[in-house]
Amino acid sequence: MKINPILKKELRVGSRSIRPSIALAIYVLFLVFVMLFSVAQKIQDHLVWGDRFDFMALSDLFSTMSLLGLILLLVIMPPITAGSIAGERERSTLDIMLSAPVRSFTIAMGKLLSALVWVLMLVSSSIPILAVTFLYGGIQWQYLLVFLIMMMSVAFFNGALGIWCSSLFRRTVPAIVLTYVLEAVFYGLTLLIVWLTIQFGAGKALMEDGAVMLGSLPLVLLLNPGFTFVDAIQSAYSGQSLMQQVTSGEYFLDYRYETSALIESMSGHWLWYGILILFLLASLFVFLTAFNLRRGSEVKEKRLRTNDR
Amino acid sequence: MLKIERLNKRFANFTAVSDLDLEVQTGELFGFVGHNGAGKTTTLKIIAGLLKPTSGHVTIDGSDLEHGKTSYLRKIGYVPDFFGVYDNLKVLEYMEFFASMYGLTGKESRRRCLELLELAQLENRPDTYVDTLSRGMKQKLCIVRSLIHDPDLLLLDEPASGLDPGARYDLKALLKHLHEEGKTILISSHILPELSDMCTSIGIMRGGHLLLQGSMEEIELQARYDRPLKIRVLAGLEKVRALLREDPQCTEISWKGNEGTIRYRGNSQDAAGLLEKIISSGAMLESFYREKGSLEALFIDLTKEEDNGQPERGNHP
Repeated sequence: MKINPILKKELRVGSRSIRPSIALAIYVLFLVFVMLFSVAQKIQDHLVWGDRFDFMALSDLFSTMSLLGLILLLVIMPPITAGSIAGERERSTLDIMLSAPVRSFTIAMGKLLSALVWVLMLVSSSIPILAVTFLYGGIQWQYLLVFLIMMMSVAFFNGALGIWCSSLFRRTVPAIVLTYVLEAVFYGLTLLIVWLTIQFGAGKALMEDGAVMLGSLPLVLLLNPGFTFVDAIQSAYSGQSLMQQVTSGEYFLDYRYETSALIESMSGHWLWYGILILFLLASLFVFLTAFNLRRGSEVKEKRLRTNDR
Repeated sequence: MLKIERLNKRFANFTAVSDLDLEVQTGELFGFVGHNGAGKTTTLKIIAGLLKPTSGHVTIDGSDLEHGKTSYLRKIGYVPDFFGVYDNLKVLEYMEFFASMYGLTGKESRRRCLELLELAQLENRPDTYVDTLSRGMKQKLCIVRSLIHDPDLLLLDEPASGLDPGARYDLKALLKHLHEEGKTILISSHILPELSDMCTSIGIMRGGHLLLQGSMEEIELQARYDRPLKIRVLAGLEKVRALLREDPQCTEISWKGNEGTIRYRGNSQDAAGLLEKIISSGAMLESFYREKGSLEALFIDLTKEEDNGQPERGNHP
């Protein structure tokens, strides 16, 4: 099987740079620090009857560390991916690449896969740290597998988003900025919309002892890879996904909710819908990147000619 | 080999290339001459498949981008005017990377890369990091990189730009070698004397139009470019002056002592006839020769005419 030449080159060039090593060190050290701090804090908070410790208090440590890993990924990925194509333009190496009989899609995938390899390295390095939570029991190896799969899925989405943003600009910095902004939209704005709806509906629900009306609004959470990630971890833990808890009619996060029949029918397989949307969006970004790679020469030429005049 | 028909390229509110017709035969070393913004780079980028023409057609041996992009791109080796290299990549790795882009892998790729490095006189530097090479070495590396897949047509955009005289000499030798090997080369350059030295045919561009194209002789003929006659008179200066004044082919005559520079419109036979008349008059000459056409002078002449509002010359193949 022929290896994508862009992937091979990116890995070779990247492995000789000190930046990935620094990023890896910071990632691991941060996780270790938070892990140790959390364990120490929980031991202090949950000591009962002198020297006895309630180990159940550590059961949520895995989900906390998983979430922290996700957040760190969101912070680290944009500088890795957003410089992939904009960086080629900055270095004036892109035109030579595009003049070769290599499809733009191959170039885009090579860039994305090289970013994913680095993410895999980061995620793998966090496994020993997360494995500390196994010592306290209540955690099964399947949770770790779910964590790995979800981290790589989210990385695929974020990576595709980053390279698409990179293909829009001639410089790396605006590409990084746009990537962070879009991350805020996907991860933050979607949650904010649902949260605000809950807040507006909560007063009435409390007064009438009813449920907060959500209707089909939760569909917007399918665009939130972070929600899908948490949903997956939650499903592994409790056997019930977040959306199932929302549609169960029971109190969840202080309220009961009323959703549409569509949401109720989807709630049992919410995770799979979420992953499907995530992959579809990522694929769309990759195709758009390939399109922009070809179009990019036109844009650059237009700007140069305008500047000449 | 290369055929361009009625090529147009418009960007928003201006036209970069306008109604360009061009044919480059196999084995030619074709030089593109023009001011900045004349449309040379745009034309080369369109040929290289990096820009889509607004209208018009580009074919290389019958292949075009629309019908068979891969086979079209395989026929081209492109060296852009500004190019960068990758940090942390060695010379041989750089070559092998581009070899893999053209489907060459394994031993065949390595053999080909080493062969080309030898051509570029970089055979002793396979493990040198590319970004540490001098500008001239990078240029040669980029040129041999474009040869990896043995293309039919080489497109070189300002290859001598930024090079010192020594590096330019090496580059010229490399291009001459490639031309002798039968490569078809299309080169754009501002360094006019070197172009006229190397090229078998020239195209002069201005404002997106191809003013003239052909061999140096053909262009001079088309441009009615008056190559100056140089005369040094030993005796009979007044007779020579009188004869030159009478000759309608002599348009401008200037003297520096006994050395005359004459703008002469006639061809070689006319010049021979003039020499015969001068000798028959009894005057003695030390030298009588016609200066070789200078591309630089021709270019300035042509573009000066354009600035003065003279009608454009036709696009004569």
